[in-house]
Amino acid sequence: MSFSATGLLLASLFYLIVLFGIAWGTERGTLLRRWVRHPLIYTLSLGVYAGIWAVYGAIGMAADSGYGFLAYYLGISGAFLLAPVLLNPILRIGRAYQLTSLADLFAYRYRSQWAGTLVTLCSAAAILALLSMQIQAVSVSASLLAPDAPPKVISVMFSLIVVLFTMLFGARRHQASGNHQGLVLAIAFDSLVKVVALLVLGGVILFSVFGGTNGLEAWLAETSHPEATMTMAINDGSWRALLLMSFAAALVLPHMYHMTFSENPSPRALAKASWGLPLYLLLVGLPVPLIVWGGQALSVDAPPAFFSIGVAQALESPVLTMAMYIAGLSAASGLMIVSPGIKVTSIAGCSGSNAY
Amino acid sequence: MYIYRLVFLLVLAIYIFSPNILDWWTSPENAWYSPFVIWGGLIAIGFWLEWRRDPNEF
Repeated sequence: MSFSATGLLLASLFYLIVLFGIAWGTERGTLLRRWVRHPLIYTLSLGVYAGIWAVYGAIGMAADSGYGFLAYYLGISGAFLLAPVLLNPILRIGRAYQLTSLADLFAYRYRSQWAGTLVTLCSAAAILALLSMQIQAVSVSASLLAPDAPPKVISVMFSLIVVLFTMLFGARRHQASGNHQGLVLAIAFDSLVKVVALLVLGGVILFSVFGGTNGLEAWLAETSHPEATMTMAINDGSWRALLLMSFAAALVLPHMYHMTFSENPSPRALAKASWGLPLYLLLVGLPVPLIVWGGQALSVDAPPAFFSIGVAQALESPVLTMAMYIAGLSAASGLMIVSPGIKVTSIAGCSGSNAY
Repeated sequence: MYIYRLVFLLVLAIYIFSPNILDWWTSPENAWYSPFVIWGGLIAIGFWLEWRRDPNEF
C-alpha cells in the first residue's frame, strides 16, 4: 500500500498548519492561555525529548538488541525522578539569574564568556547530527509511503516549513519574557500525537495480529529464537553508554534544557513532571516490543527501524499508516522547532554575557 | 549535603549494576511486560513522594 507524493505532501502540510494554528491561537489569546501554565501541558512539552529516535530508532534497536532500548527512556526518567535534588536547584539558580540556556549557566558558573561560547559551539556541533537525523528519517519514511516522492524535495520542504515556524513562534522570540506559550502548546500537541499514534498501533497489533494477550503469549512461547522474543543478554557497554547519555540529556540537550527550565511555569510543574515525564516515556516505550513482534509475525519487508510504518502498511490500514507517518513528522518537527531557536538564543546570550 | 551524597551513591550503584538489574527484569521466566510493571512501580513511588512533599519544601 502506498500514497501519492502529492497526497503525502498535503498531509504533511496540513499537520504543520495545525501546529501553526495552535501556536498562533495561543499567542493571540484565542486558545485558553491558562492551559499553557498547567503542569500537564508542561509535562507533555517535555516529550520533545522523544524525537524521531523514539518513534523509529527505538524499534530498530529493540529488534537488534532486545530490551537494551529501554536505556534511552530509563536514564532521563531517573534524572526526573531525582528532580528535587538534581533539577530543582538549577531551576532556582536559572530563575534567580535569568539563565535561559546551558551556555548562560556555564558562563555564570565559571564567570567566563569563553565557557559559554565553548558550550554553545559544542552543543551546536552535536545538535547538527541530531537535526540531520530527524530530516533523514522524515524523508526515508516518506519514500517508504510514496516511492515516487523525491526524498530531497520532501527534506527541503519539511526543513523550510520548520524554519518558518521557528522564525514565527520559536525560542528566539520574546527572549526577555522567558515563556513562549504558543511554542509550548504546539510541542505538547506534538507529544500527544506521538504517544496516541504509538499506543493505537500497539493496541491494533496486540488485538488484530495476535488476538489479545493470550495469543501473544502463545506466539512468544512458540518462538524460541532469542532475537525474536527480545530476550538477548544486555550488552553492558552500549547499555551503560546509552543510559548515561539519556541521564545527562535532561541537562545538556539544548532543547531539553530550554523546555525544562526556560519554559517552566512554576516549581510545582517541575515537581509534577518528576513523575509525569517518566510516565509519558513509559507510554511511548510500551508499544515498542509489540511493534517489533508485529513486524516479525507479519514478515514485514521494511527495515526494523521503520516497522511502525511497515506494520501499518501490512495491515492495509491507510489511516494507521498515515498516523504513523504523522507521528514521525511530529517527533521530528518538535525537536527541530525548539533546537535551532535555542542555538541562536545561546549565541546571542554568549555575546552579551560579559555581565557575568 | 548528606542527602546529596546518599543520592549520588545510589545513582552510582544503580548505574553500575543496571545491566544485571535489567537482565533480571527481562529474564525469560518473567512476562514480557515485567520491565514496564517495575518501571511503573518506580513512577508510583515518585508520585507518592511528590504527593506527600511539603509544598514549601520547593
